[in-house]
Amino acid sequence: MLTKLAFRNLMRRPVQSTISVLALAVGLTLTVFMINFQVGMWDVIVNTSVKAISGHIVVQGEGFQESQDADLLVAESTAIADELRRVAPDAVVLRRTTMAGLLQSPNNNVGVGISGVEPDAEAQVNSIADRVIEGTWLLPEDTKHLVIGTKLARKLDVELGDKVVLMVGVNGDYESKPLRVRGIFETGSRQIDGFLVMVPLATMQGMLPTIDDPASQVSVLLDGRTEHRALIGPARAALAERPVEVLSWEEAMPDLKKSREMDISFAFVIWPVMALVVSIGVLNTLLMSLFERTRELGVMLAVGMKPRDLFKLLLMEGFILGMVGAGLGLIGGLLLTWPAATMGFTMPGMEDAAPVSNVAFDGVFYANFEPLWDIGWALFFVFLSTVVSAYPAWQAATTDPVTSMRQQ
Amino acid sequence: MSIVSVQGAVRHYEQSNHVVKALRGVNLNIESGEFSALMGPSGSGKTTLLNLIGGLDTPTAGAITVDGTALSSLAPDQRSDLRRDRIGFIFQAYNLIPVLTAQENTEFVLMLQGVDAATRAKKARETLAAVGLAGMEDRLPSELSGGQQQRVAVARAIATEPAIVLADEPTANLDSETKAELIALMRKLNQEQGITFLFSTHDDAILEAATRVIRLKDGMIEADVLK
Repeated sequence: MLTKLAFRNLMRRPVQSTISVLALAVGLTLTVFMINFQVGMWDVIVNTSVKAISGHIVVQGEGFQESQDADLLVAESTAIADELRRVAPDAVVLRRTTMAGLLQSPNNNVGVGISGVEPDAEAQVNSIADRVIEGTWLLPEDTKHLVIGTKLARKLDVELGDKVVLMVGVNGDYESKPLRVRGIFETGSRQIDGFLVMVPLATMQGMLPTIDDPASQVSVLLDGRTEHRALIGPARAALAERPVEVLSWEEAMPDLKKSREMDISFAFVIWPVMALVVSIGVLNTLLMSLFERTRELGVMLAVGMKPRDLFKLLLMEGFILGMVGAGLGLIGGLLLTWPAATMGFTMPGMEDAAPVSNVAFDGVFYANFEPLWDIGWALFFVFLSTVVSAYPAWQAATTDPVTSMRQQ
Repeated sequence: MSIVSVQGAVRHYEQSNHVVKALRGVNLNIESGEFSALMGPSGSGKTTLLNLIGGLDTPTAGAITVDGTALSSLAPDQRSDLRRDRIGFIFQAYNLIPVLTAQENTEFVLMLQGVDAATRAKKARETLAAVGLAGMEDRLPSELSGGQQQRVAVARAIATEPAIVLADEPTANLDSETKAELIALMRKLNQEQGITFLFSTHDDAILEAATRVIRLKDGMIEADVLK
């Protein structure tokens, strides 16, 4: 009967109760949608960065993470890749070299970042392969060609098939190699399109003759179902005898991890404040209702209701408002998330927004359905709505029945 | 057997920097089955005495026992239990819960007692029938006349079979005909079911029906007449 009484009490002021419920619902709708979108956006950023930069697990020259010295290469990279395939049979294992250099055309010289990749494997994970707008992507054994971005092509004033000379500094000396432009890509990122040169790994290895089968890194890319942290230990054990370091993507790209954590942590400040603000509506509704019911609450106490039961009644009213508002808000948030999760959300200008270099975003982000978080936020709204109702509930419970019954 | 025993009850209030002596040493026993009325002019202490007996207020001095329990020995929760289980209340302004039907208002105190839903529904229906409201169980207070609302208040007060019903000016808001019907109803409940009633009233009709009239003046009993 207390539940029934709580419901009916809320329906005494239907407009006020409806406004409170709607405020909670709208607040939770926005919270759920924004959290789902934020988590989804970061998943896109992390996945793209992981694919383009480090993999979920990266093997690199010992001391590279601290020194970032491009000369710290791993030797016998094919053997390392085979070891890693034994540790993670379902993973894509990639070898890459990443170096700075100079690209010369008859018309200009431009400082560039050079990425030596295994063309077929790289094409599986790096979207740049799909963004070649003129010519074609690299071929594995074709050590005579490279691909560059549109902006770099303009700077050098070169077209498909034109000859350029790639220069790389190795241990104080310069190695140079003439190549032709096989493809021109466009990512939308000024940094990538104007700076990045991609060549087959074999080309780069040919320019680094002093090391056996060199690579800057060997990366392991896992499908979404495999927890990469579980494979770090076995990978380290398998490569324990080699002068390499085995890192998770979080260790290899700490800035990316930190940016993600900070951004998501910020949500845990913003949205609770929003929840608190809309909960004030619940408080207001209950206080108004309390003011109107002073005499009635006095009668309830007089006929034998215990103050704590009266406290529970008012708390239940806040809880009901919270439950209805949170239920509607959860539905609203999921409905709003749906198109953003299935069709994506275009955010122009995000191409250069990556917290790590040389990662191209296409500007389309997807929301994630995060059921645990969504339900957690809904429960938080219910909790807050119930907690704020503790004040009017306490006021009611400490009412003196004789004084209350004198109220008109 | 005394249902209520008041020994030397004193009640002083602080009001605007002076002390109001609402009761100045009242001694009173109410026996089981009485149909008694407290009368007196405004400010004589009728409602104060009723509130003390009902455990809604505490005396400045003196002792009050209800149904064998000394109120001064009770913690607030125990007072609530005593009011719920042993005392029925009828107030001047009906004071029903407006969002509950007649049936639910009658069940309310039974619900507080923890009586199961089926038993309390049956009890409430029987009690409403006893006060002449059969067929009106599902009406809200706003759908009932003043007399009918006060009958629901009577039903709520007696549904728990209390040791005593305290009625504070129960007929004050009623017309003569309704008033007479309500007094007849309460007298009938008193005579047929042995329910003890103690009224605070100015109403001549109640004073006429009462078996005992206790006259208060300036916080003291001026006369106590058994008819």
